Amino acid sequence: MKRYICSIIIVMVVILSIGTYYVKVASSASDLPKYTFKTLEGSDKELDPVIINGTHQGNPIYEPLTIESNQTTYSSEKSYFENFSGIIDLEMEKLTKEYRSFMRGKDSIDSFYEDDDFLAYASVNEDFTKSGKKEAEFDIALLEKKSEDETSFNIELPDQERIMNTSIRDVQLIHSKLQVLTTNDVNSNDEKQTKEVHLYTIDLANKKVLSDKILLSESFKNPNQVELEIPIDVARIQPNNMILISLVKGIYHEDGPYEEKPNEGKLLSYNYETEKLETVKLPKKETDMVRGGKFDGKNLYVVDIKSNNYHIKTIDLSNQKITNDLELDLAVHKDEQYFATIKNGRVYFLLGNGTNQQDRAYKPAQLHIADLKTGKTLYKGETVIQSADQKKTKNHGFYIEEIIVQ
Amino acid sequence: MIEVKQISKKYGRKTILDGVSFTANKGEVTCLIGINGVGKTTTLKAIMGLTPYKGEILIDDQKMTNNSYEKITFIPDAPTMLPSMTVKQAMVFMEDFYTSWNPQRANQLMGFFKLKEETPISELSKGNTAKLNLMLGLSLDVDYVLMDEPFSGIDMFSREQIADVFASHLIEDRGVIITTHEIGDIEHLIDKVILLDNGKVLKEFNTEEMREDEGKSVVDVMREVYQS
Amino acid sequence: MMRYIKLVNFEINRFSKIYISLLLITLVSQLVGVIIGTKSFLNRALDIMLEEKISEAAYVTNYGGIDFTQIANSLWFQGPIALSAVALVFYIFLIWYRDWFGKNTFIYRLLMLPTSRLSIYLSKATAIFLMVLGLIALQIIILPMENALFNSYVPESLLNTEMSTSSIVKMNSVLNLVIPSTFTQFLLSYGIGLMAMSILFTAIMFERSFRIKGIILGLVFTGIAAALFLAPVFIMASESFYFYPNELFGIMTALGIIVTGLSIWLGSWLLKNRVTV
Repeated sequence: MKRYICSIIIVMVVILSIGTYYVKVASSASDLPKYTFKTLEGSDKELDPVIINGTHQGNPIYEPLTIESNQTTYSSEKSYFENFSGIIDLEMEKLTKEYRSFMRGKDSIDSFYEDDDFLAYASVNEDFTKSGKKEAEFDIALLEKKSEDETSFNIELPDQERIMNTSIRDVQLIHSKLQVLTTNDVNSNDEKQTKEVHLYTIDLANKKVLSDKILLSESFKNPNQVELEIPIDVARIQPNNMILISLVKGIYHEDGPYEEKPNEGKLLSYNYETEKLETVKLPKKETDMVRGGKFDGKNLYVVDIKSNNYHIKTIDLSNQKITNDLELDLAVHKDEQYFATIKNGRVYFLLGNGTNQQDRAYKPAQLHIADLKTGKTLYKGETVIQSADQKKTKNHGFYIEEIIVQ
Repeated sequence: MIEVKQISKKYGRKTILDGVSFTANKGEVTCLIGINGVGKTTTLKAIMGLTPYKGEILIDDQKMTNNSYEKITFIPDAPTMLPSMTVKQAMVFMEDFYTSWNPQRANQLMGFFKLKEETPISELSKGNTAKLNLMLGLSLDVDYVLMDEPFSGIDMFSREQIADVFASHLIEDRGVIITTHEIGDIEHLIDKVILLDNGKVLKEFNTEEMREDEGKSVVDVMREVYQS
Repeated sequence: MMRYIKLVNFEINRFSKIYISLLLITLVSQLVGVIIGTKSFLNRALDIMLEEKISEAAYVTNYGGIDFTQIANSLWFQGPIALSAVALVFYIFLIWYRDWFGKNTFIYRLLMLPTSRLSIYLSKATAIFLMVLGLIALQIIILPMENALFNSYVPESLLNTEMSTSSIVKMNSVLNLVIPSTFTQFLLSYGIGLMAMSILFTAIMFERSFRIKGIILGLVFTGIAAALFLAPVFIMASESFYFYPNELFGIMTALGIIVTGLSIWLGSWLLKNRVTV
């Protein structure tokens, strides 16, 4: 037996110490505080479709977490597989589940279009040849849902010598032609920078680019800046005749911060059907809120922070009139971040990101859910931190990154 | 019986063994004779499965398996135990791994060779190393013992002692194969001689028959064969 | 089976002197690292506080406090981990070659044991793997002790934060590599380690069987094994096919098991049929 002492000790120590360590690691997530919503008003059933992604900041380790249907799950609690597959976009997950073979190797939800008959995809593939020359081409794919016919092909990006990079913002299928809307940065030799919105029309049957239309071109020089943004579409892949493009101007002050110039920006709408590009004339007050707005193809929803309480305004883009003005029972806090989303005929409004801006300490975030039409408050609640060890929560931070509604 | 059938072996382009065949019987001492580098050691290694070869080797009509090592043992001319071990530890190691280890015989041989249990193997003289090797090999209850040059480079007294073992009951009933390049004073111990040269068997004969029928000693035959 | 266990034990005992030295070096060096690191920080802090006549709180706001990550990043701390890693990788080769070379040819005895050559192959692999895990286990045991020592040394006012063992591991890239953050990751990392070791062992068997030609064969085998294991990654990189992450994971796990099995089988086959002593 004496001869085996060395090996026996090693085996025992290995099993005990490594075993205990990983058992402790696995159970340590349950020591982390739970974040939940305390219902102040309404039914907590309303919370069921709400998903909040955030981070628990337990100095110095950051633990990503998800509050889904009012249950906190840390990513460290999930199985290796769940973290591994890494799909966080619900729409992508749904598409991948349904069309596994077609979705292979495709990402970015903005590249997709889906209607009852078709699922279409467009992306730009940039490659460098051996001589260092850039070659950009469209990857186009189309799935006919009923027959499960898949077509995919590549076409050269037109006029590509001019273009530095391309990013796909929207894909639509209009009269059997694929419409691909992109924002492009243009190559330049001088200080002048140019950003453009292009609309490529692609003939799927003949596999060629029918047209390359520049909808918008904006040049600027440092320290001026221009951003081209697409207000968040609540139904990103569904058929939409209209897309909104928001042009935001700003300036870098010397040794100072970046300042946006809201009055110089504008909101444009493009109608794929009529091929008309129009400037949306919003009531003055609303223009600076466009970026945080939501668009469902017909209405634009913006958050108004100019009154005492937060307002959600619905603007009908066909006549550019405010058709609904919903006042939330929630006072405006200018220095607080807010998250808003429209889904299921409801407004989901989350005020605060869980962190106090001054001392980085935990601060409850408030969630309001209201009926979009009637403005009736369906739910009111705020986050609470629960921990087995109350003392431990002292230095803990919480940071909300986004709110998603299923 | 160990049957070596047409075994061949090459190291690169050099042919070491070229169709060697012979048999070695239980209860007999078979001697592989030849000058250095004719493939004597390679033949023993081939029998023991310590080197790949072409051809077939059967031990009691069976091919070599793991368990054959309980029945056949090889005593090379170099120590096979770690230098850091003591004689005792080497014995414990053998007892640990071989069911055919015979502790009584080991003690007998220890006494016979006057080896001390606590001596580290690294401190043993050349003669004592050979004795240790012999002791470890012979203490196994095996049917066959293969010895590579058991007498080379050893002082006279050790040679005598080892030769005594051959004459004793310790070797009785076993099949022994030894290699040597000088037959000298062990001729009387040998039952059968295989003369090897250039990887081939030149002559295979029984020493007693040779003496009785033709009146020749092993050395006489060697002279005849090698000088012709 | 019994002989396999005896062989593992034998291999461990053979390396025990160097192994215990590695354990002691790690223990001593890391403890010294904790003490020296902490002392030098405290002395510096004290000097500055006296010089500038500031309080501890002011020192922390101006210069920052200390936490265990700073200690874990020192050479005192990581040096012995690197040393142990290098020693064990080196021993993957030595565990075979020491039997052939050196004063005694122990390989004769080893190959003449009444046990399958596979158990000889596996016993050496097991011994090394156990010793690697033993070093990891030591690190897991001494880390909380070092952490406690550190926390007892540093006044709370200068301490950034009191860290748990698992967060120390997470914050340090070297520690995180040797002690993966989840058990699944641990299995995967050390599974890959086992595969790499079996490939190396088999390459060594090629060399021992065919000498100079065997070196080339060994390298070719290593290349094929690596290519087989990484095939799905190459396929993805060439953009000819895209695997979903869980498919990639599944395929690579299967390939890893196949490659490991194949090289163990080939290695022990060579040891049985082709190796020359």
